[in-house]
Amino acid sequence: MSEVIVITSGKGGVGKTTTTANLGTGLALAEKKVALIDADIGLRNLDVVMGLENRIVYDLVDVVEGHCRVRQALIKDKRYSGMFLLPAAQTRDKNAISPEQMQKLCETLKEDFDYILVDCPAGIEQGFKNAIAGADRAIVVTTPEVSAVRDADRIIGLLEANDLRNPKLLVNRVKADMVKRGDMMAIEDVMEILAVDIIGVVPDDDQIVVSSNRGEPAVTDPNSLAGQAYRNITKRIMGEEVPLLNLEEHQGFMQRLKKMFGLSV
Amino acid sequence: MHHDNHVIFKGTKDGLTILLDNELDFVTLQEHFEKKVVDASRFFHGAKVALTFQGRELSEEEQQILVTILSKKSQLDISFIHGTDTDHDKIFISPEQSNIEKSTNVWDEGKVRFYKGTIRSGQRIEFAGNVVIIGDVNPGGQVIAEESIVILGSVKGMVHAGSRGNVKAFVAALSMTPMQLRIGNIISRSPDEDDNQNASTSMAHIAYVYEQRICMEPIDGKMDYLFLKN
Repeated sequence: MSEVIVITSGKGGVGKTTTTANLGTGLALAEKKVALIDADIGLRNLDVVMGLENRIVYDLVDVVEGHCRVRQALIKDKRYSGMFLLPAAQTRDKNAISPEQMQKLCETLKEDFDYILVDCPAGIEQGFKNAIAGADRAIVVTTPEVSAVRDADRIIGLLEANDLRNPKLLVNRVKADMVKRGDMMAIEDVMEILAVDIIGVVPDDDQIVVSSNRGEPAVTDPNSLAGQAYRNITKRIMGEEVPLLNLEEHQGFMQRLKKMFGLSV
Repeated sequence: MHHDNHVIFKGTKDGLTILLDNELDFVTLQEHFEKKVVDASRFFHGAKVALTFQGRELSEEEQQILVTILSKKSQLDISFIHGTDTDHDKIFISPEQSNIEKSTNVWDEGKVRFYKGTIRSGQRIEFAGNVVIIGDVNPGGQVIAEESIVILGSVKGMVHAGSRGNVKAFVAALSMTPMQLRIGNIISRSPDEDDNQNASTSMAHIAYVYEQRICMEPIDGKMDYLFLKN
């Protein structure tokens, strides 16, 4: 049974695109057939993060306007079998497509793919409405900041109003040491406000910036803690039960040694 | 029951209560009812009332028949019909409990509605009467009611009770840290320095107007100033 999952947040810059790229790649590594749709028309960048920018010929708008067939616009990612990207148009804007067209497109893609991930643009306007139109499930990405949580709350309300019940929460860029010092909202605080199920916690990881710039999603890096978090979330999407990552594992050797002798706080 | 008392009209402070015999068949009851309405109609003078049926379980249909008789044979303007509620009956009828009726701790507030779920940022819900929210009110969410608001959850957003100027309305919540709290035309906002936050999140609180100001206090069984006439 195939599923359309929209990855959304309300606030910009919290890591929707990075999440889409990583979860898509993770699912493809698990031998699933995955299509990624970049719904951020006019500000496309999923193709950049995936390292597929130079191969775009047709895009989302070309498909819905009938300039090409869906298969022609889908870019195959050669590194992972079964993964395709449908890029956004850069020269148009959000009004170039309608929710009905998006819904139809998702239905078409469902015939060929196990998972269709939709990278939603920031905001709650037309682009958001388009992106969620064909979705069966939603993942709301937030960071542990008051403003991002507030926007996530708004988005969850809008999703529920559009019959996308029980969205799952992904808390991105968590800094365990800052949480420990009380300088950053803890996961519990975020969950208390949003009151939805959590699908994963991704630690802040400098490596993400490097991998995004290189076009290689962190999920493929066995040494990256963020990559591990994304691998776990991928499993949860596929219905496995995986415990949340203990972010404090990510400590240096000296810290672990100190802890062993009871010197560390 | 004396044969004259198959149907009893009783005026209460929140409208008209009609006590119905539970043993009579409905057709006979209907006749008694009609007779009683005609007899009593001169007392009514087109008053606007909320109606309560008591003493007997009525089907939707039966209730509709009685309401039609009432509106046709009298000048009454029925604004609202309360459901029949057997527990409710006990409070008002049972002799050994009748002192409760006189107690100032019990009062009727008319229409109460329930809302299930979290009021999230950007959501705004409005109610004509009282409302009980079973859920939280998140920052950026708004709950507005013409009467009182009870929240079985935590309040971090904006709540406005007595939105049409009723300063006797109150707001009660399990955890009370609203961004802004309004009762009637009085507005109070959360303190900029929230040093008292723990107190109002760890205990249920109630807010009401006393001497033109909104007071908030823990629900601890005292609440001496609550419902003193403003």
